[in-house]
Amino acid sequence: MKIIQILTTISYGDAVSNDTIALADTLQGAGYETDIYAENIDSRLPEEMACRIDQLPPLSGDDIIIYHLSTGTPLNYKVAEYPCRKIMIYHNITPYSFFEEYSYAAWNLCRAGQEGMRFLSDKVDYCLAVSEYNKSDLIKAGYSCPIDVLPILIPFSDYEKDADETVIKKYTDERYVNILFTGRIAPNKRQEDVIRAFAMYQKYYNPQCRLFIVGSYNGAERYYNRLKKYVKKLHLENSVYFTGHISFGEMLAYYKIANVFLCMSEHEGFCVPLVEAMYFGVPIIAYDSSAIGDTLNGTGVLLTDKNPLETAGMIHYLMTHSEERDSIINGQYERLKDFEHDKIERQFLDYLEGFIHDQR
Amino acid sequence: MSEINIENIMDEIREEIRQKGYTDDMLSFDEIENLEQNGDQYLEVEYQDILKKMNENYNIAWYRKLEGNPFSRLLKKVVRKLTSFLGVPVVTEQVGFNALVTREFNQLSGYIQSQKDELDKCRQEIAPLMDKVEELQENMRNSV
Repeated sequence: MKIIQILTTISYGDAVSNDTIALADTLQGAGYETDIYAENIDSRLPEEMACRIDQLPPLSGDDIIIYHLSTGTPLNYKVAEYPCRKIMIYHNITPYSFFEEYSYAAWNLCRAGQEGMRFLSDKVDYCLAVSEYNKSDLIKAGYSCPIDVLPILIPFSDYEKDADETVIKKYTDERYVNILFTGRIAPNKRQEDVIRAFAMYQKYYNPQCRLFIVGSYNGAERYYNRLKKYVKKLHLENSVYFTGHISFGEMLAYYKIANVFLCMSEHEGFCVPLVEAMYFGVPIIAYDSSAIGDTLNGTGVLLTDKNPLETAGMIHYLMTHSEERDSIINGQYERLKDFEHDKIERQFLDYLEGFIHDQR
Repeated sequence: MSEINIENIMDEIREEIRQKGYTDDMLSFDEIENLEQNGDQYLEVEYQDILKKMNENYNIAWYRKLEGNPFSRLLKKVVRKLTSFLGVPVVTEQVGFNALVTREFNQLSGYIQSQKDELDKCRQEIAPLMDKVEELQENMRNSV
């Protein structure tokens, strides 16, 4: 029996690829014969990491495919044809309406992804959703197979790697409050609302502050340019930093210098950056949407309203009430235990063995 | 999971905002023009941003700070030494090319700026002439 993981693109740094690679390590560690196949393979990855999907050998009835669904691709249809048992890991697909104003390509990918997701509803044998929110998405789309929730497998040991010293030296200054949001620049993440809350914080509470919007803007240039123009019109060019795509070490450095993690996203299937903020002991303020509430599970500060003034007030509160701030950070550390690598790994193997032995 | 009551804190914050008369009247994001980004469309902000990055990063260093324990550092140093005859010329050539491209883009930036200045100058010269034309047209209309 072989266990084959299939995904559309495997590359550096994105949550789906990281999850796939981490699961491959787990499967290998548990003694399974396993491989990764993808339509597109980032050339920077080691050659033996993944093979092209057209090189997939013939599969037999006792083989298992683990298919990572996250976007629109012909694979969403092709995967149904493989003559073996199928598990789908659903990472969520952003509603295409978010991209209507900005990118036809992204709009089309998301629309096709949602169609593909509905197509597969009666063609997979078992699903793993990375959050309760994603599970409800699958149920709404008509999935009737067993569905379990398995958070993304995050190798926390990576966060122990060296953080970029240049970033740390440049921005470590007790006089400044550093506010952070990480995640690619995308309309569903509503970076403009992060900027608005920051503008209010700087205006009324603390002029000595900086906002770091960390993440690649590839494919979202129109939205990025609009954000930059917004920053300029608000006269915030000297305190709002768009980093673009950065190295992993630099990303670690931004978490290390951050005083508050601010997320105003309106659509997340899981939101790995929240877990990263928990790991680095950065208090989280987040707007309650999609899977954000599931991932925080009562920790951090979950906002039900998107009021920039109140959000700014909350940033100020956390920066001036150390006891409450510590309590929030401790709550986040507690929540972090639920995402411990070994725990999720065990849970994944239990689910997999249950599936292999037809218990689900 | 946290023991603190977020809703109570939010009430406190709302009260403070009310008392101090803070308002969130600021430019809305909807008021920002959403320009179509075609490959051939010039955006000053984007151009200057990329140019800045080019100037900062065109020079690629052959040497990187070696990390790891003393033994692995030594090993890496040996490997680097042994492969330097392959790597150094390629990197040097690449840096030379990067420098040329960056210089060219700096030139372009200067050219764009000079054209903008020229355009501004022309606009300033044209403005009184246009006024004069309007004045003459008005005079003509009145005389007819």
